Amino acid sequence: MAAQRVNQRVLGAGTTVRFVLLLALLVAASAAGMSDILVWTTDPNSNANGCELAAGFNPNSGYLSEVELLSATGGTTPALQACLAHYSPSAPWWSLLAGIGLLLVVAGAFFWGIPVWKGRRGQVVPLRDTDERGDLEPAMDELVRTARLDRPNFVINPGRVTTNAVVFGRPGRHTVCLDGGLVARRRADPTGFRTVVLHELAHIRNGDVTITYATVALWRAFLIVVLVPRVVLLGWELIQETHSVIAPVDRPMIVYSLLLLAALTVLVYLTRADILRSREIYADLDALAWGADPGHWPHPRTTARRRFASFRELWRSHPRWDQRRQSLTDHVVLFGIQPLPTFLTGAATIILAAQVTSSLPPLSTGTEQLLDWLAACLTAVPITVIIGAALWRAIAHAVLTGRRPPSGVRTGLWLGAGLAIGDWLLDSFTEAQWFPNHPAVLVVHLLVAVVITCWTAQAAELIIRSWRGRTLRPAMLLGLVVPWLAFTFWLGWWQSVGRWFVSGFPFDWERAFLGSATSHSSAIAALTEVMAVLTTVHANPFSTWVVTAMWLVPLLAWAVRPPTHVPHWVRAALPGADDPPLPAEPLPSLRPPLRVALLGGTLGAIAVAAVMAYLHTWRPPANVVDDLYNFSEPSLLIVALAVAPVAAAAATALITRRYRLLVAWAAAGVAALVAFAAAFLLGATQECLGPLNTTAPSFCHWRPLVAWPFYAQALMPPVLETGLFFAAIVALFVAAMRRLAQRWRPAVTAGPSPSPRSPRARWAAKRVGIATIGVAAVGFSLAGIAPLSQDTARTDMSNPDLLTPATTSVTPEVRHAQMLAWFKFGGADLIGQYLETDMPNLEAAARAARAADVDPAKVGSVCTEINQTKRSANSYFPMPDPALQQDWSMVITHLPQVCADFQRAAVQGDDNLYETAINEFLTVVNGMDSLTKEIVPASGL
Amino acid sequence: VIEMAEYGATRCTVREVVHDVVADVAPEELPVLAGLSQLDDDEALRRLTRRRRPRERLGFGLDTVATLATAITWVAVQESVKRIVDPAADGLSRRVGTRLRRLFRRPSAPAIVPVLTREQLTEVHRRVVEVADQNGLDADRATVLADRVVARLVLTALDTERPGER
Repeated sequence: MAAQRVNQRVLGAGTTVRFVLLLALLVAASAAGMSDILVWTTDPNSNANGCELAAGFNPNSGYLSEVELLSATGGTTPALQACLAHYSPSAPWWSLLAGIGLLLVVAGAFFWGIPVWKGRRGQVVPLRDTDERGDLEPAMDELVRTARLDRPNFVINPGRVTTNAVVFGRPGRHTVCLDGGLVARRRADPTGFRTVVLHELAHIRNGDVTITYATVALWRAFLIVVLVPRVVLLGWELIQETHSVIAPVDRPMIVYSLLLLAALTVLVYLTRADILRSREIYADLDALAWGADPGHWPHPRTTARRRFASFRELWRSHPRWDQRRQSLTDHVVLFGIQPLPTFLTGAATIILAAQVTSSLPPLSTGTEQLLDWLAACLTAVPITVIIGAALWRAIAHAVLTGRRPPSGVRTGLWLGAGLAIGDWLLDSFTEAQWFPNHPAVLVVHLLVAVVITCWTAQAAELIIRSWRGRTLRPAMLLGLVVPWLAFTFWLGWWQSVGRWFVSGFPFDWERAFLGSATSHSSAIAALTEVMAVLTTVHANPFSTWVVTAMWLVPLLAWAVRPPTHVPHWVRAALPGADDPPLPAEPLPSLRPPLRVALLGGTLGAIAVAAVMAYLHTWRPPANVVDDLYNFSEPSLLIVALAVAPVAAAAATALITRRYRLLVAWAAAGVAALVAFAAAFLLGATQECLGPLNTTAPSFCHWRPLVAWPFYAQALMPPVLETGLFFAAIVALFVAAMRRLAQRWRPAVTAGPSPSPRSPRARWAAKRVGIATIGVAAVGFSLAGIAPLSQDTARTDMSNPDLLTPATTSVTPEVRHAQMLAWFKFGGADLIGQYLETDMPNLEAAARAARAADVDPAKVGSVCTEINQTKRSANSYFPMPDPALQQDWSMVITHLPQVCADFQRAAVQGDDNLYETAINEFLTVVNGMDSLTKEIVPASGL
Repeated sequence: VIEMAEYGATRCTVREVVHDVVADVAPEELPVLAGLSQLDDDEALRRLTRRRRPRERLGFGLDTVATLATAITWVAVQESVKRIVDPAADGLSRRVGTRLRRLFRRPSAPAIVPVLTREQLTEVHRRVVEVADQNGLDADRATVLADRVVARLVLTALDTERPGER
């Protein structure tokens, strides 16, 4: 197939969606920034952080967010609520809306004002006022007719001696401004004049004007309303003195916030420049199609490239002239996938997702979850369309021109890097720390992105080759549904759960899974971590469907007969070709992969049997609950079952040449189903299997109803979700290794192993087979959706008992800050009440020579006061320092007792009791004394 | 040249001189001149000599400077006239005045071309050639342009003054 010139509009380039993503990002970042500004207006001294510190949270272990978790699960202590309500009132609900309104008003003013300013009198002159010879206006009319547009406003900037032109305006009122130099040169260089004006008209035709100036306007509004105030506030927070209580733990957060704003600025500029460069090339091509002179695009001077030239070009809104000239004749540039926009899309998406979530006001847990998911669905749209469109365009071009289609690996790596780095900047897991505890978890972004992009790329080729429609657009939309679901799942899961794994989950998985069983090996401890991931993934309703769709949907392509005539979309995409190519090619046969799948399933069944035999050796006797066994049984069986898809995927990736990920994944799915069927049979008949019996000794019988819920609901979902994802990773890894090996040792260039031309009966058999696999997979997925009957309560993350205490690694600085906060937000008042009022009053009321001389009524009123103080102290936070808390709680509980003893001694005239009370009182006073002595160094007062 | 009769014995402005020269040597530049005529002299000169050229979003991207007879003539004549009329006012006070006028949007009155001596005319000629050279006009055409400018200025002088005085 000779290299063909492919119509650049065979599929949209996705630049409009990229603009929309940029606008959405700016609005979301504004909302998030504005909520921070609002918090500052109501709580300028960050008392909220102070309350949290006083409550004993340890920001150093990344657990300041523990407060959020606690409040999300309704576990906030009343003391914290009271402290927050008193010291850090929240801004009224409408203030955020008002802030967004202000942003939009300012943006609107810019959007309206920029064209007015550019087109003001004194700057430009209407063309008709200068057309002394009367030939300019008709020339413009002719060009407008060529472009089939409504006539825009033409003006001249007479002071500009350059030969440029520019277009600005707002919808329905576009202005093309011609440089004086261009107008003056019209006679000398009519084709040049025509080219420049047609290029500008193409900008109008392509809708570039509105969206470009909308971005400019929103960016400037963001700069004025959010960015500058935020930077000033953060800078002030960084240097101000009064903030010192939490300064050491607050500083990383402030610096990361500043970094994020800087990154956002860079992101906006780079993205906008990149989109504009792409739009320039489209405008060039349209101008060319309308009859512009290709000779007018200047030849670049061959000067030595300046240092950092390519870096500078990233910020320019126009591509280099050599690129523009080249793309006039060769459209390859337009169909390639560029790393920079891919990276930027990833970063923008993850920042957008986080900003949307963080700008939402606190709501009830259910509503919040729903909104989070809605946000994930929406944020997944731009990333899917942008990356999907880039891949689809590249692959359509490769298919039409006979080039090698991109694998999607590189795109995935760039996208994943964008997601990971954007995520890092967000700092939602490094709160109060310079680096997250487990940064390696961020690599999962790369893995997920690579799986999704490779899937998208291979599915795109599969669909493009078998598509018969008039245009490719519906095919692309169809092919992007599954990636969209995948991104929705990923963004939603990551926002709600995944991010926690980076900071270290504040949840005691070992206790959750193992309960009372404490003595176990480190392998079991590691297994709890694995089970934690599986549990949180399964808690997400999307997970099963997304993975099942990813391995099942591509199989449909094997059930469709390939087109035998050149489809209409190919003719439209290759307008100049006399003999357009037939993109269809026979698909690789599914028989070998299915055989591998059966083998993999068998391997999985053997692994299951081995695990059962192992478990048989230490099964607990009947009526004995062994938490360790109850955990080990399902988790080891899950690992054994996962052997099937992983082995099948690896082996299939080795034997297939085309659509490796799709075929390997389908084989993995089938293998999982086979292994599961075998395991279910083993489980339902295990009482008859002797050494494989994992239950308490019982008689041999067939018990499917007992085995089913365990296998279908506890074991199958993790295998179908995370297990199959892992299988995909393994398949991609094997494929990459093969490619590397081929680089050194050129492969035998045997063509694909095509399935023979199938007769009608074969097609029917094929379709029945694929339908059977589909029904089985969907059936198992449905069965797995049902909630787990057992053990859910224990691994329920809303159970605050299982939150790991943060007292493990409290540094002296944090302890100091905690104690200081404890004092500031109420502790000092309580201690003062005891030292200055309650204790002196009690002493005064109880001082006497003997018990009978004490006035019981006086002591009684003091006791009432002391009890009142006790209630206040109990409703306040305990002292953050555990050692001091012991003394403190002694004072709180003993003083009322002492007072009661004095009162009783006075009433009864009991001198012995009076003596005891005096001694007890001395103990309490001594306790208080030592407490204050220790508190002073502890709090640095 | 044809319109010369209209000016008759009245004194003539810089822009009129430029208009006549451009209409003669580069009539295709007349729309530009018409645009410039709507600005005051200082503003026009400022625009024509502006170094910084912003890169416009959605422009074609060409920043090639066109060699315009209009620009060359305007810059050379106006600068020469300024220097001849008020040689001292080239410094700070003039610049401040220009700034203030721009701030308050007060157009300055169009500069009047005085009657020039032979030396002054030679100086204008030299200046036109110099500016033309800076703008990349070839030497022959630069000389033609300078000749035209001087011719137009001489015509003004002839019209303004009584014959026989010189």
